[in-house]
Amino acid sequence: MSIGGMMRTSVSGMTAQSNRLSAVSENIANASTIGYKSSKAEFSSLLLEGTGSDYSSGGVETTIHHEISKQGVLQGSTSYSDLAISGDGFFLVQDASGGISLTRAGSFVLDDAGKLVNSAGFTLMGVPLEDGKEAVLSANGTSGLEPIDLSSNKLDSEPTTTGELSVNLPSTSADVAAADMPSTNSATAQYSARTSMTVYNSLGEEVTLDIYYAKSTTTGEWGVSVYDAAGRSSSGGFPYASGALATATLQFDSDGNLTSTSTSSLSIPVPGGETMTLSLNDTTQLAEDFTIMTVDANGNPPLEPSGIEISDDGIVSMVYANGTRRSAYQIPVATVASPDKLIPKAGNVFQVSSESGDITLGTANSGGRGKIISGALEASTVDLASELTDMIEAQRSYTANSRVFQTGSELLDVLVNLKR
Amino acid sequence: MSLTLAYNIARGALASNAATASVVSRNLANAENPDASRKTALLVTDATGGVHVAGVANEVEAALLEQSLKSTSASSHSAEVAKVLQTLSAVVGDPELEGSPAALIGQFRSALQTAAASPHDTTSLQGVLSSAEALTESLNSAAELTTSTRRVAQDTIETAVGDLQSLLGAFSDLNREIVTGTALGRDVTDQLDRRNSLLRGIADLVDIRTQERSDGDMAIFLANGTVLFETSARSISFDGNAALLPGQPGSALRIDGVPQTDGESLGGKIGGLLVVRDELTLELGSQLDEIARGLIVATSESDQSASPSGPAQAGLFTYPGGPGLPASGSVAVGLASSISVNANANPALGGALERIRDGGISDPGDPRYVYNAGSLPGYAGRLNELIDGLSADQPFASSVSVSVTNGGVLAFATASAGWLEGERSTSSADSEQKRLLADKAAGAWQSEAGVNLDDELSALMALERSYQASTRLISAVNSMFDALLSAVR
Repeated sequence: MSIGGMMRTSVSGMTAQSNRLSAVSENIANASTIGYKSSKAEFSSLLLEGTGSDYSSGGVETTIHHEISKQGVLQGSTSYSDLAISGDGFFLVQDASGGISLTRAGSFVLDDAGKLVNSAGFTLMGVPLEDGKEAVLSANGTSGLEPIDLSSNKLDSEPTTTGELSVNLPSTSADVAAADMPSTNSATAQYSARTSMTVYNSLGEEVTLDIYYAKSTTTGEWGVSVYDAAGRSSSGGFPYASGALATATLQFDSDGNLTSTSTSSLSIPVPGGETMTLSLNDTTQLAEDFTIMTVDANGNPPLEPSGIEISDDGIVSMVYANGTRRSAYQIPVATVASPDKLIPKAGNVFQVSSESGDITLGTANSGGRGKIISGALEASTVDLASELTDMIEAQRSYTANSRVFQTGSELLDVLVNLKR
Repeated sequence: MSLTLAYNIARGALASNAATASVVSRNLANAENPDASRKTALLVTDATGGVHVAGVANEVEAALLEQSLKSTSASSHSAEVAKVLQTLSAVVGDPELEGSPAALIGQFRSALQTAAASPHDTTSLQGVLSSAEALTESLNSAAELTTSTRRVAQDTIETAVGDLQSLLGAFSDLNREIVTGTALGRDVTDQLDRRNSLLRGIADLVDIRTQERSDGDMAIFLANGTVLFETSARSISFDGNAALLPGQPGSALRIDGVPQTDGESLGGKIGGLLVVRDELTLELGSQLDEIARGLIVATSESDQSASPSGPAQAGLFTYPGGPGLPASGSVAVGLASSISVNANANPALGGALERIRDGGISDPGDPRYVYNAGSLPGYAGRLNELIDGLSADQPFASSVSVSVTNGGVLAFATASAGWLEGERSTSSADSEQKRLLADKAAGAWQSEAGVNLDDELSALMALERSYQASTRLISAVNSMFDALLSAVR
């Protein structure tokens, strides 16, 4: 037992409370920082071994704990590139020197090079996607990641490869003789119904296909032929400059639906483009006028991307003026075994420590990972009211500790004054 | 839950109230715009219980739009036909009206009757001549009217086709904007309204069906299945300068290479004009030609010699192909515009009035065609024969819509006038009914999708209350923070 020990204990108490106040002040200062995770001072007692009447007072040890796994409130924003994760996981970002860190601060903006950079200057990483293919994510490393580059200085076109055309063919149509079927491409060719659709060739040029339907003399059979409209005769129809691109016979059952053995799709070599599969599955033959139910084809003309869309599984797609979406990148979500043990660094980023466990990459919104929300930001997890009450409490404890110190000091005064 | 969260939620509520109020103000501003639809702000609850505006939607019932488009084109189609029939009927159709062929045949007949009562009187013969001239002039001008009506229809089709092309061009631009906007999640409701108004403009010209596709994309087809717009506008060709041949349909309107010959199924204003150009005026022209042919046949002269050897020849009424008679049973195209009174009966042109009484108009040099060989002033036989001839049965072409078996050309002319009047009254009744239906469809659209001031004003009041409540919440949270801060000393 010593007065000095008691004074040292109270000093350690004051140090602990000032640490706590530092944490509170940092929290209050970052109450509006996007992606900030509040820190909390936690204390553990430090006891000295004493024997019997020889008691030495201990002290208190401070550990600053970061509540990294705590979900912040999501605030809506109007920018598609403001991202938030609702659930577990982190974005992977790169600093200027190429080091990879984790963050939840998703206030990204496009810079002049087409990179997504957040307010702390970190660049968002992603896995480049071949359109229509799944990303290959390395399970426990950051290989294959590259900074997302959305610079749109390239025109993009896509040739038509699939399409759909559903019509009703009027069962009341007059029969067309075999010699006059549209497939013959003769000047006297007859048809029962005619329509057209726009598709795209490999250069992104519009190609109009004329599609003819003619009721055959055989009951329930219709001939369908496709021609390139560019080869129309001067009268707007037959004979075309070149023969039919595709020809088939459709067979209908007594209910007016295609029979199971009938042709139900056409392979059309689009002039200057790819072979297109045109589905005719829902074609019917009923006692109703020629009616077009569905006509649709993929492909697009040369277009600049007019916008960017980010889905909740982290797929970054370029959106073109005609509504086509082309996936460009996938934003992976990284998880670690113990997120609270990550080491916070300046700029709301975290780095892996030996206690946190290694990074595991995965697709957002799957396997327990949170989903990515475009147009939202994760607010700071700081709650002002509890920080203020913490502050009052810390202030009181500090004052109490200082009183102990003062008492010790007064006792020493008494001791020193014994000698006159 | 914490004070900060309460604060955030109240702030979100204020923001979404403000956004909703701006939507309401857009509605109010467009209350008088018939094309504007009512917009509503879509409110969505956040994960934390707050609220935000996810987008703006408008209330458009696809079926109502379709109905409104259909009735618009039906109304403008029948209005176009009725308008032309009204004009034609006013000039050609009324049998009571001075100047219509049917009325003038009647007058010609009474002039003949007067002359038959006093065949020696040249004044009455002069009366026959002048009423015959009035009749031919009336037929000529009626034929000219049908031709000019066709030409006007042709010109109007050309203008309307130009309108259709420019509407489709505007539609194409707007459609692309809507597709891009929808894909990017922008508010495209104003563009949708404008696109609907363009659709109404197109439906006014032709009968259309629409099909909604992904991302708000729309394809337009004609009622007969021809594509008008699908990803891109289809070609429309029409030669407005092509010659209009009498008795034959005019140059074809091609949409996407498909000739549109059936104006009835094409619908709309252009369809109506096609019906006028290729059906109504052609039919009326054929009937006028048949009246002219009937008159020539009814007044023809036959060989009066004891053993007749010559053919019947055109008498009082003749035509450039005379004196032989036009072939019976088929329409002689252009006859109504070329029928004239034979110069041999007209003293002003070197003929003689007495030939009306005596015969021999067809060929004064041929005595075989003279009826009154002795030139007796009291001879009324030929005049009576002419009177009977007007109502004597004769065959008419079966291709025209009017068929008369008894009563000759007089009955045919009356039946033709009756046909025109029937068409007129049917079409104007039809047009009136279609217009009412279109008004009704427009009214249904307006009440379903349009802006209702009462709704908007009550929504505004609710917004005001909700805004006040959120403000109250913010001030409550604020005073709680004040209390907390004053505890820190």
